[in-house]
Amino acid sequence: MISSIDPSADRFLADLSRIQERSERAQRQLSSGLRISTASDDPDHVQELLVARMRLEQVTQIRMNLGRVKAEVDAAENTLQTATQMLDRAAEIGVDGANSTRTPEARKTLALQAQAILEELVAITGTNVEGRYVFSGDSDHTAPYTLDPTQPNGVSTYAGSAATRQIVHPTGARFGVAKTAQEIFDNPDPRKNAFAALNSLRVALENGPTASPGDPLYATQLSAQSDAIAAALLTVRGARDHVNAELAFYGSVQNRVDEAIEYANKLELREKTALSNLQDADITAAALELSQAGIQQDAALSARAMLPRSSLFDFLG
Amino acid sequence: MGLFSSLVCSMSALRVFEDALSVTQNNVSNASTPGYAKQRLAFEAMPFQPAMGLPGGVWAAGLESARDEYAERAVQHQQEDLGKSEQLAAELARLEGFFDATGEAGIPGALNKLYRAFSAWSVAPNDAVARQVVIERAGDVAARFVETASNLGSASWALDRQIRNTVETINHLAGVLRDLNVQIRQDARMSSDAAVDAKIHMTLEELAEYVDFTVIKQADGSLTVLLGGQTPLVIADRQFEIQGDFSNPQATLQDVNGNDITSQVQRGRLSGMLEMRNGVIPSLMSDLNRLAAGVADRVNAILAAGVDANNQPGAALFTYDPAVGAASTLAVTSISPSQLAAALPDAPGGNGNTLTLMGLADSAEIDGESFMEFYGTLARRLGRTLESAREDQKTNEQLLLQAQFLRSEASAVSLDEEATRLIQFQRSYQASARMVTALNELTEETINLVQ
Repeated sequence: MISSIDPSADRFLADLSRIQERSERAQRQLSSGLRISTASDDPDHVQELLVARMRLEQVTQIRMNLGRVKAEVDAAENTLQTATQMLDRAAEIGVDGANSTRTPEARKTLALQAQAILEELVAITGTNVEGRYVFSGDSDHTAPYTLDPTQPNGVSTYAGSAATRQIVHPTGARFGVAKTAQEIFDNPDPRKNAFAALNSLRVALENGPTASPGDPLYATQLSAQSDAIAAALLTVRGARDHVNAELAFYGSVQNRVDEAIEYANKLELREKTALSNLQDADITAAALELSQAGIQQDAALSARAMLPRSSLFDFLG
Repeated sequence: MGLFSSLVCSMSALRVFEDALSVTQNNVSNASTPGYAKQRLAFEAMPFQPAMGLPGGVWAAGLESARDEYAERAVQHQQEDLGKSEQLAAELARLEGFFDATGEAGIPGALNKLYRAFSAWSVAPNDAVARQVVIERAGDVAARFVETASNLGSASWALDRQIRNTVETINHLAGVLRDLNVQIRQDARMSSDAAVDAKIHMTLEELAEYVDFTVIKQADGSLTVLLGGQTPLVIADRQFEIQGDFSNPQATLQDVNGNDITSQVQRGRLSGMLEMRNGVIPSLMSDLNRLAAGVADRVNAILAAGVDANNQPGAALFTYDPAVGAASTLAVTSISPSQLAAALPDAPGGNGNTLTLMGLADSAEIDGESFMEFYGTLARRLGRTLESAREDQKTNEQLLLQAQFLRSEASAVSLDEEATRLIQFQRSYQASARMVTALNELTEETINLVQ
């Protein structure tokens, strides 16, 4: 469309439009707080901004992941501390039972206590966090063990799988955070097998002399039971030492996770700062720009209004 | 030579000054008329040889227009450039809104959420909720691609409509020029008529906003208008309509014989529309399709390399129709959460495959760039093109203003100038009227002498 406005007026309108654009841009920055809200605001930094946002989201998620893992690791560590205490208690029972002054009936009572400890130990292998069994390895929806007196070590076969899950550190490195109940409590090495040790202690405490007290075999059988209890006590102590060592593993994992969380926090702050530097508006500059544009607009309108409207025609008689 | 001759000369001069005053009045009346160029009445002295009986005097040699065709052409040329850059800037600004540049929404926002879902899944690879979230986030990614592709498609259809409307406008304006040619050919005096001349140039300037053309004035005063300097739009009293063809992926412009004349349009809004329709939008769509296909293929490949909750090879998460375009057809398959492959074949139940999926965010996947970097390149290119179009628009606005200013210096009506001429012609008229009065008195006295 062709306008009937003369060129000087057109120029004034074009200049006014440019002032208004400056004003609108400053207003947009002030109201949104953003320097870059569209690609044309700063094309050269758009890609950088998008990648910075992505990195921030990645780090935030990794921090949240580590928080979740920390809950599992802490739970596992608590469980192993409890297990260690249980095995200490079992060792005391073994010491008590091995005492030659203990009667078979007293030893049977101690056997019940050993059984209770075994049951408790099986129960705590089923420690779970948010529905995930922390000692079942990758098969974390299945409890690792149940009681099974028919088995040599008193528990079922391991129902879980190997623990291959790795967690990502904010630097990108990966590390493992779990061991399986099989490794900790049902180790193939009989000197480290807590279930087998407890079960053998229970069996040794239960299996007293079959001969009657006056029978010459009674003393022999009683002595043999004492030896069996002593042997079981050794395996209980060995299992306790093994569980202690696994507890140290979880201790180091806790430290690793804590360090990773702290690193993630720092990295998150750094990424937020980088993103803010790229994206956020300079409020002071935008406010100044808005103010200047307003003054310029007023000046332009005022100057235009003051232009003389008369021509020679106005002075003709 | 006598009193009667002088009286006749003075009467004739009065008529000439009357005409001059009419021209001044017409200029003042049309001071704001678009396309009007100030007119001047040319005065010529008549032969004066008293001894030979030539009485002298003044006569009106005809109207002269102050129009400067070179300045007019300069304005039309700048109008063509401005039309194109304005169109490009407006269309690119519209497209810019489809591509989020903050990473919080649109495709980048959805990709970030998908990466986070992969990451959260890695911590609980067998968790049904984590798996479901992955499927939902994948659905969001697909929806954003489809939405963006749909927006580009809509922009393309809108441009088709605009091109149709613009072609109609061009044909209409060509029709106006043809009608003016008819008037001129019917009456040669029309070619020097100020009103016809104003209408012609106003129409040409309007036409220049839409398309570039060349004008040739013929001997009979009619105009020949050639689109792009080649294809006839108007020749004498004939018009040659152009039309748009949208039956192929590329929109084309055709002359009256169906020949493709698209490449002849280099400036004007029509050129901007064609550049957007046939160049910018298909290029963006192509990159969008590459990105969508890249994301889908890569995620599916990683999942296929792993095993799911039932220790089976992983099922595909995404699907698309490459014939139609990955971006516009991207969708999530009917995969169930348990079919997502979190683990590697040698460690079923583990999270090995989810770690590979997490790594997608940073790995180079398209042209040596990660998916987010590739999207960023696309957005940057769009932003730079828009920035450049806006700069061109500003520059062309200034150049147009300058050309209009130079034109107005040559041909626009100046009220002060017309007022000055009014005074001049008024005085001349008054002086000639005085001469008539004086000569009339002398003539009466001469007659009385005889009586």
